Amino acid sequence: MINILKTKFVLLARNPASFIIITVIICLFAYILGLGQQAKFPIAVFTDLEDQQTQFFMKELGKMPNKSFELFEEREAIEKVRNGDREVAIHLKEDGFDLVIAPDYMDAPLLQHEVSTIYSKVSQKQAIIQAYPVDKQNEISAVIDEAVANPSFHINYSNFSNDGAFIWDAKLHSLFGFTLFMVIYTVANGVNHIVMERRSHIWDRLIVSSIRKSEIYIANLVYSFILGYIQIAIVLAIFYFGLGVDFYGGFYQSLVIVIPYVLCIVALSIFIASIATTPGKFNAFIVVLAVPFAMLGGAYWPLEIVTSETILALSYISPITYGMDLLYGVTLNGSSLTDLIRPLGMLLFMTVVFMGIGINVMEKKEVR
Amino acid sequence: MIEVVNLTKTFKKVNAVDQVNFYIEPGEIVGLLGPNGAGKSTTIAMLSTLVPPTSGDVLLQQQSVLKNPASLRKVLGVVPQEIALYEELTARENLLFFGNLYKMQKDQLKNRVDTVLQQIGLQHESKKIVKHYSGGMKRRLNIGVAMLHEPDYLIMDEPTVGIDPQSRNHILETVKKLNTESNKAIIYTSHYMEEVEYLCNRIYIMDKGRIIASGTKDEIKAILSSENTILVKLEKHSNDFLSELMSQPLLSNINAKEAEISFTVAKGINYLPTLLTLCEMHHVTLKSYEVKEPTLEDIFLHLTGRALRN
Repeated sequence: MINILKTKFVLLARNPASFIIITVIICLFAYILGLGQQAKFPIAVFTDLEDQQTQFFMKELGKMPNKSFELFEEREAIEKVRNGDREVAIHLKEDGFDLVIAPDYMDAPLLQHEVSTIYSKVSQKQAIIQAYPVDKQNEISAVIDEAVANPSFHINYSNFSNDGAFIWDAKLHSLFGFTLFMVIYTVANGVNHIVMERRSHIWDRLIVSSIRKSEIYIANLVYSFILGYIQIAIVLAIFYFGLGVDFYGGFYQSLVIVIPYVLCIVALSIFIASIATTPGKFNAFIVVLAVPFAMLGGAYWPLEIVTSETILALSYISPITYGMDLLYGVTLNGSSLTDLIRPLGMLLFMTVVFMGIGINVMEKKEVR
Repeated sequence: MIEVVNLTKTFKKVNAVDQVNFYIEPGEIVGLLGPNGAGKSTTIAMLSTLVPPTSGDVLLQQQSVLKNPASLRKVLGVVPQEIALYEELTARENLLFFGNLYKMQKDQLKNRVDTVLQQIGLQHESKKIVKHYSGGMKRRLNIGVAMLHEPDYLIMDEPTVGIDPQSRNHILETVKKLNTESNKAIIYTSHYMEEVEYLCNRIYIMDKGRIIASGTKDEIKAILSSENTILVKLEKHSNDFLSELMSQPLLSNINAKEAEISFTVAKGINYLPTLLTLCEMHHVTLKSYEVKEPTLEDIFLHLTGRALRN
């Protein structure tokens, strides 16, 4: 088995083009669609407030992670959203705020939540001050500011799911989405060796040798798994160590949690290999399956913004759905292992079904 | 000895191989001759335990190997019709890889690889990537891989398909040497009757999944011992003349290729005077008249009514 595995890696080293190209494509797409866009467009802000209040709000907004803000005149800000130069504009008012959003802006609930929090802090302060006589209001305001600046104790809390809002990080989403999508092609390239070897009768040579058939299958599956896993690890490491993408403390966990997804893709590829009789047909089937799986599984956009019941129902058949759930779970959502049992279970179930059917069909075809 | 007993393979109610029986003894070369689609490759696949038969058995020293093929696989080397090699590896790497599958010791394997490279005449090209080899070199390496574990029996499924005459001769000589010098028993399938005629001690002729004739070369040729094959060459082709020949009751197996016509006629009949009369009648000039020894091609034509390489 080790001999087969070693030879596969020698063959890869002699012809590494597809592995390298897919790795570069993942990095490029994840960067362009995630990091690139984020850096390019600060959120537009226009205001009805006094200068001092505006400065205060801009300062508070600036504390939001991964977002930047730029002040405009009202007409200019709305024009920028209309033209697509900005995805969203915030209208700051005395009694609240409005969001002017482009149709494809997906961070609206989170942004609304953040701005509301800032407004509540201001309103709270106003309510306390107004409870005192006018001549004491300045003094009270100073006391509050000092208390806020030097709190007796710190309470850190995070609550990401208020009012049905969903957590969204464009950088991570592009990174995870494109990685899970494109790695299908890499794993499939590995499994395609089986189809090619069967076609060229190398498989027959392996069968009539002293090695067991189970060892031949395991060597091929392990090779495809390692190939896919190494690619994911390389891409995630480039973004984490090289580009400083925030994994919310879950970088190493994501390297572990992605294992069931890669296994599932290996099993899916085996299933396709059992149906396809030629390497060309195998590649065609993979392309036809991978793209819809990516769309349905939320690799391009979060499933939370999808309203079609049909598409949401179909998303359950895509392994990418569960892969995204797992990766989001260990990073942005900070989920426990118990929270991730459903996507883990689904991926393992799919692995068993695809692998079981795939190998059985292959064996039956061998009997011809 | 390997024996095949009533071997049958049915695909979707069609018998690709139908009740085939044959045997091969140590040290002999047995030919399996038949046109494309005759069932040779399916027979070979069942014999090499790659495909289970629908019915029948494969015996090695009187023991069935269908349930436990390991004993047969140890003594059997298979040369598939296709080039079953890793094209991105060198010849040496290919041989080392396939040799490793037989769990040979490192030193033993290295020696075997050197010996095999010498036997197939690739010792000076062993570090070249296989995809840069000519068709003939790939074919030779394809044979070399099957010889690595020193099997007693070699199955060669059309090992000379698609190569130039020089490489073909080299392969035929290699096969002959393997048999005479290493005493390997070889089952050689082909649809080139001249190869089978040159190499094989005994021959099985297959058509439509069945063995239609078998025996030594002389025994098979004796099938046509009561007939002579006549080959005539005309100055130009004539449909009327051909129709006239077809209507002659003494002639059979008439086969025309433009101005060349072959037919069989019972031994003892001198057909030349009649033929000259017919030529005169149809204003056809006879260029040559040859009485041939029957070939395997003639036997196949006689048995099936079709040419071997249709």
